[in-house]
Amino acid sequence: MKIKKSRDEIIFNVIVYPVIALLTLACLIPFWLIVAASFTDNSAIMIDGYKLLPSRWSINAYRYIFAAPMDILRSYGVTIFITVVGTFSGLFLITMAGYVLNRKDFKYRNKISFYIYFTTLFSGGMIPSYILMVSVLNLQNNYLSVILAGLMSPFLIILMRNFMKSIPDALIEAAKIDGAGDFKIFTSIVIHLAGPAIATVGLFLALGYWNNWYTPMLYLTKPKMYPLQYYLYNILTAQQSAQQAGVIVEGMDTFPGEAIKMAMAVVATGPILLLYPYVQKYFVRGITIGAVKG
Amino acid sequence: MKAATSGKKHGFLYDLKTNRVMWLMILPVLIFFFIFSYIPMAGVYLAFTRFSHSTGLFGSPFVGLENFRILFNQGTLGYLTKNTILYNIAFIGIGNVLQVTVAILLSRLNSKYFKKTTQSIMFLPYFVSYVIVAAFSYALFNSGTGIVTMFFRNLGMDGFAPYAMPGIWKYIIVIVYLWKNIGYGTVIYLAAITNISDEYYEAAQIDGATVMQQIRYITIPLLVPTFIILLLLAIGGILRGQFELFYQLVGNQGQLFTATDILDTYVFRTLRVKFDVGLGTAAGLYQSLFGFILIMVVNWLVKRKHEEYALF
Amino acid sequence: MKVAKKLLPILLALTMLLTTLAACGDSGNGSSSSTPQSSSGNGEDTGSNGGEAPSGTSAVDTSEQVNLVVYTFAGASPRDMDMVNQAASEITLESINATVDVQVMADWGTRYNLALTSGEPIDLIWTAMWYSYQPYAFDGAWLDITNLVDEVAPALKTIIGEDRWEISKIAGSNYAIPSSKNTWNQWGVTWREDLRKKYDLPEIVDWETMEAYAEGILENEPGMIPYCDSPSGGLWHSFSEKNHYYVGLGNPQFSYGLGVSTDDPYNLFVFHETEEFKDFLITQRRWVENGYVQPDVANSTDQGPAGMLSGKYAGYLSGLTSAVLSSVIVPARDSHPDWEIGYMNYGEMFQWTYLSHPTMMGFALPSACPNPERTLLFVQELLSNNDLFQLYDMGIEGTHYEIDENGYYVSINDPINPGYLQGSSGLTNYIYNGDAKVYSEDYQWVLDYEKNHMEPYEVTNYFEGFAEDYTAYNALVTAISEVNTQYFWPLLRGAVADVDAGLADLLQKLASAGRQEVVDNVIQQYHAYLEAMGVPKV
Repeated sequence: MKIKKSRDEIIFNVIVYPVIALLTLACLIPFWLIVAASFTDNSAIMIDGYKLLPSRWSINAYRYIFAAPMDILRSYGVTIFITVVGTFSGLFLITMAGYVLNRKDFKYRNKISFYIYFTTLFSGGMIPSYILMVSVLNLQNNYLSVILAGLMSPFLIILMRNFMKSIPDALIEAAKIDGAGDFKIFTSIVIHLAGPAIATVGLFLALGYWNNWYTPMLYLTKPKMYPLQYYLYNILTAQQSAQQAGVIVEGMDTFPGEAIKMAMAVVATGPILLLYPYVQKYFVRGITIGAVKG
Repeated sequence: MKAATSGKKHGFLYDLKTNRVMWLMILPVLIFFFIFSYIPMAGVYLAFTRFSHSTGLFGSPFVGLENFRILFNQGTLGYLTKNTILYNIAFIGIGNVLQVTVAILLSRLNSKYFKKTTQSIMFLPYFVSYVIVAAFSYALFNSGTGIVTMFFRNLGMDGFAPYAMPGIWKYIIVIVYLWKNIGYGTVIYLAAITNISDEYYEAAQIDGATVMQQIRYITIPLLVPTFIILLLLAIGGILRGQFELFYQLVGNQGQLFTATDILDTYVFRTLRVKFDVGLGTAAGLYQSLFGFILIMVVNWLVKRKHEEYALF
Repeated sequence: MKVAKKLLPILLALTMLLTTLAACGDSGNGSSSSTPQSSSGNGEDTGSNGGEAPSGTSAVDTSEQVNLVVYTFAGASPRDMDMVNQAASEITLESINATVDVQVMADWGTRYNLALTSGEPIDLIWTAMWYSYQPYAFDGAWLDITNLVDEVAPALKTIIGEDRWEISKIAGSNYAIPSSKNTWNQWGVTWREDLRKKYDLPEIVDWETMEAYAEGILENEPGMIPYCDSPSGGLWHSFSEKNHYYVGLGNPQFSYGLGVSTDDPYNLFVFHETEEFKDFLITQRRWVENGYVQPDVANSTDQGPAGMLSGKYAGYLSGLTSAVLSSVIVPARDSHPDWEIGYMNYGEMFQWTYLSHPTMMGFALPSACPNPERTLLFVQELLSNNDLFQLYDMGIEGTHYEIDENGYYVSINDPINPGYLQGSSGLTNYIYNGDAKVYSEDYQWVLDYEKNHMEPYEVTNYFEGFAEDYTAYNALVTAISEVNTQYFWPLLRGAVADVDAGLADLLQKLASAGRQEVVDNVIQQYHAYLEAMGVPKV
């Protein structure tokens, strides 16, 4: 039912479109600079700085990266593997948890919410977790360590719980009266209605895994196992570390320059950016909940 | 809450039995946290020890509150706490308001193409690693050819040299944080907005409500639960900082520390002098306790007014 | 129960999936024990001598095959590290019945402390004096190998030299394997000799001439910055040499402001209060104001070699001799054949050089080392078995390198994506087998330079070996270090406009942080150290 645009809507649009456009530009420009710099000759970056258009065009940076295609491809593969497995497992468990915590007839939901949330407040620190993962569970150099470390997020569980609040209790009541079991309600009703929530949480989970270099740094010591972000981080910081130490490795003259850092940033981000628009449709146009009478 | 009926009939075991499917559904999560969060939590006791490699993790002598005394004695803990809290208030407060605003504005726009594109682009900063942010910030702020520096010098402020001016960094840091997180936070609010039935808006339009009125009376009230939850979730971590953000932007520029140092960066530097597990854990425990007390109070307050908005 | 039936399989499947993943990781730790053990300092000698054991190891039982884990530091891990480890393990399996797994750490910042504190089973780990080697020793992080070496691998004493083992002792015990290599670790200045000649600038022999060069560059090459400075100090690295006294005593370095001269070793003085220091600060500030170095050094990410090669800088201030060779001189030959690179080490410039202490950087056995005897045997093997050493130093002959007709090392790695560059294991620079070492032809320049320009000015290095035990006043040390970060380093980098006020500030803050008490302690310990070493009082 389209209603003719009223005057205030037009004023609204006139103000809002440019404001949003400006904000968007502010977000775009730095990234654009990175892409431009990745196609610039390294010396030119040092002298001319970061420009919107390469002052001296060069694809040397990409040539450097893809000269070892196996390494890059492998770390891509690792990252995709970890992200996919982690996201799907985590999403499944988090959604179930969110659903259960929302059920008013689940008497212990507040206590359990607290139990979950409490873990964000207190932590034993790096050392006990490290010992647990490495010595007790023996998961060093095992992808499971990275997957498990990012699987559960109290933040996401509580977020999911809150999104599910919008699913009317009446619906669930009705289903129960019809004799459906709790799990059946979950699979047949809740999952379908919680579309935006699942998409959001899934996206955050996936992003968390994709961008994560910290737990790989802790638990993976074999370069062949490095996921993409850590592979990139390694190259960026190995240079810093060696510089601080004044360490010489004979023949170590070709540290990746600025251009290569930029190219690696592009390479590491690329795929996930392609995923995003696909998932985005869940946020932009919502799924309307149908009539909930009775 | 225990049902007020007699006997074991309505106790915990009974609940397990009747709701066993739900318990089963949430069991993996419970076990996960037990193994990966609660068991390592025992390590907190390290905060009360004087760790030494010769005595190891389990044999180090108990020293009570000594580590905390060391932390407090520096005198710096006061301004570190203040800095951390103030920055976090700015991040959480301004951040959420900005994200809500953008989400609401975006949701009202009609052009699907515009909405999708801008939203995707706003997500880009999230992917820019802080290491690169540091490189950019040098390019912007260095007192030789820095772009921002030149800009202000052209306006007549000759002595403008950001890296020697602690005062302006709070603005820079907050702006960088907002820039980096705008895409991420907007998504949450957008998802919440899509849950609001179109019927409300259509009905309001028929009644002649303007856009601003619709936002004010429909959208915002329905977003309040999400807003509050996000706030509550953030409060527990009020003494924890965005370490990478501060570390990469400020680096080792000692002159800026009084204005930009947070607990995390300070502890990082201290541990670099000598890695002291006791001290590090004590600092972490301080952050935890502070956040814990704060969230208990705030959550209780929220619960009194709107039970359903509370965290637990 | 119907629903539970549906749910259970899913949960089961999930668990199975995750468990399968547990098996599908690359846990490369072979058969070494996975629980941390704290070994006693004595070797376990059983009477039986299982398997083949090289001479000198009759006290060690090598019947059980173990896997030795070695953590080194060298930047990024070489692509073919596994290949080299495998080849090396073939050798070590025969000689000491152990496989070796050398892992190169890039980010030692977090992992180093974590691994040591959590008792991770590592056999040999890289250490550095500027990375808390000595405090860790006092804290018991390293295994005391004083007696173990004699029992298990006495050849190590002869190969490396008894005297090096002696001066490496901390409180009477050896904790690290002393390096057998003569290293000159002082910095130097690099410049564009072709530009200097072109504009007829004076030869660079001291600070004044360095300034003249800078002025010349600013005048004649607009846009070019004369020197690339480093956040950890550029010109500062010549302060010691210029004034002929060492200033690095303290934790971390320079913190306490103590200086000591070889002419008068027992006299520790506070160099903050000297005229020379003030003079340096004024010079540094002048350099910053005149634009001789890049602005806001602390936050600059520019590095000297890359800066020079790109043409943005006409020199840089903090280059180690061998680093200058590999990162500037050799690349410039290819990319800018018309350039000429000038270099002078500050030691030569001011005629005051010293050899690095044998444990400045090296290797130690963590106290949780699972196989101490086998590890020492491995080190011994590296130092006596030329094949093994060359494997870790250069890689696999024919795949990674060749020896040319003059006996020089030539890399045949793919230049863009090298498999294994010389020294990239980070192991062989410190566990150094002089007999087996093959240098590249270019490196001869470094060797000649060191021989002709560094050795003649050598003074005895009494200072670096001093290990300060500050457990008693730990809190003060932390406070002082914090003061330095805020007040000392900005001064040092020329970031403070009013040098006098800045210096006064620094001194006052240090005083209230308890510097005097620390200094008193240090002087006491240092005197004891000198006496134990038999250094005569002047």
